Amino acid sequence: MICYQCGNTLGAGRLCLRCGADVSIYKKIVRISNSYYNTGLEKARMRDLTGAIEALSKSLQFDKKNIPARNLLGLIYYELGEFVEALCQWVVSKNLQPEDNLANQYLEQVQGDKSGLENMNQAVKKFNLALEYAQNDSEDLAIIQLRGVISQYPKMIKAYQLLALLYIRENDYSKAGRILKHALQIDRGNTYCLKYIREVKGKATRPKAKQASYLEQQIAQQASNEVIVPKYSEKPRVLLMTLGMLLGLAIAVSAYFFLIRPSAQQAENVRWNQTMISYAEKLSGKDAEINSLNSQVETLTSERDAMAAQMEQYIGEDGTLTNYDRLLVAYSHYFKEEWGELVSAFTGINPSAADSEAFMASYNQLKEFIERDGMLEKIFSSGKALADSYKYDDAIAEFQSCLDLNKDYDPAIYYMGFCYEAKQDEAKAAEYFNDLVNRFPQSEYYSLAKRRVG
Amino acid sequence: MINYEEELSKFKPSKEIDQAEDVIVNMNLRDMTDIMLEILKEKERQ
Repeated sequence: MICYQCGNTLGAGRLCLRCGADVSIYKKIVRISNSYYNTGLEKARMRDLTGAIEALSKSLQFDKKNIPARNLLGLIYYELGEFVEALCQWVVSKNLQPEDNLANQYLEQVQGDKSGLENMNQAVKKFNLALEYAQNDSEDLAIIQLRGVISQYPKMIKAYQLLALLYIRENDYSKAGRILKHALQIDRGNTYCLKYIREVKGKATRPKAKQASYLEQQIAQQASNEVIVPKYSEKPRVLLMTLGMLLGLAIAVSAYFFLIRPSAQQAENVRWNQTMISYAEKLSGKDAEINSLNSQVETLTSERDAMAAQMEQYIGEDGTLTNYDRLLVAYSHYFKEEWGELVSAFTGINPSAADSEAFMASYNQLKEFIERDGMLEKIFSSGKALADSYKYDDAIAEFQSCLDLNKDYDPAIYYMGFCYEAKQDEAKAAEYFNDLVNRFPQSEYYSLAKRRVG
Repeated sequence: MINYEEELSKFKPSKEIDQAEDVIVNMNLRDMTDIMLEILKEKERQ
């Protein structure tokens, strides 16, 4: 404690040790101020802000230099939305004690937040406008303005008070009651609120006969346009939770089917398409290879056929080599003097099949021997001797050789019929006898053949 | 029973920021200590 005259720190006595002033009354005044400060602090802690303002104001009336009391008073004004009052208290506090003062911190914080300060000022202006509406019997406009103030700055106690009063004016006691309940949560000792809520308590009516349905409650809440915690029953909550889960599940499934699966399907399709393209390329390659092989097969087949045809010219029935072979066989019979076999082998030779000069010379030499040197008569005589010896089969072979050399050699024709007749092959015998009778009427064997034919 | 008009008349417009200077200037800071000093001065004069 400091002496009010000289500023010296006071001791326990009645007088200032420095200037000798009587400080007994002054000490009492300061003690009373501190006592009110303690009361105000206690009430502020209990959230009885109106009571705290009252106590702190008295504390300052006793000692205007009670800095903690002034700072706390500013803080309570700030809490209740009385920004200018709060700033004034802190500014005075700062002037009275510039150093080591909590007010400096408060002022710095408030002045540092320009948007917050502007927001507060707008709320104050709206409240003043609402008050003006109310005073001019425009309660509806006033209510709208006050709702805006509360949503903008939810701790402005005066806005709650005036709004509650307007609802009471409109006999809407339930709304007034809810507003006052909110206000008392900010300031429990607010005398206006306590007074109004006493008025409201007896008149606020609740529907008893009929319990409003959930839908009606929702409609009523929307109509009131108030921020009220909805009283959900357990059943709708469970229902809503179930619906929410189902909706979430439906969204997840939809997302899977419409977003995730198509992209995955697309990727899978692309992969399959690439595989198909790869296989198609391989297949077309194989087709080309098969076509090439087929053409090779055709070429080789045609070459083989050509070779076979060429071979046929040599080793076929009328081939060059075959005729060479027949010529060699004929010569073999010639050297063995087997005339019948010689004629058979010779008649099988085709001289046009070979164009070799050696072949043609050998062939012509053998031909000249057979035709010029009475080969036909030699074979016939040989055959006739065999027939006389009853060797009819050998005789028939000899006579056939005669006919191979000359098919119009009538003695051989007759003896062919004779041998077959001897072998009791009447048909064959008749064939040869008739041939002779028909073609050779001048033959010496005509009458014999005619007699045998009958 | 609440009298609306009477209650409404108790509400005063809140001070806006630009009025803060006027509020501070017009603030009555006279406390009990000031009164005591005045009394003591008066007593000395007599």
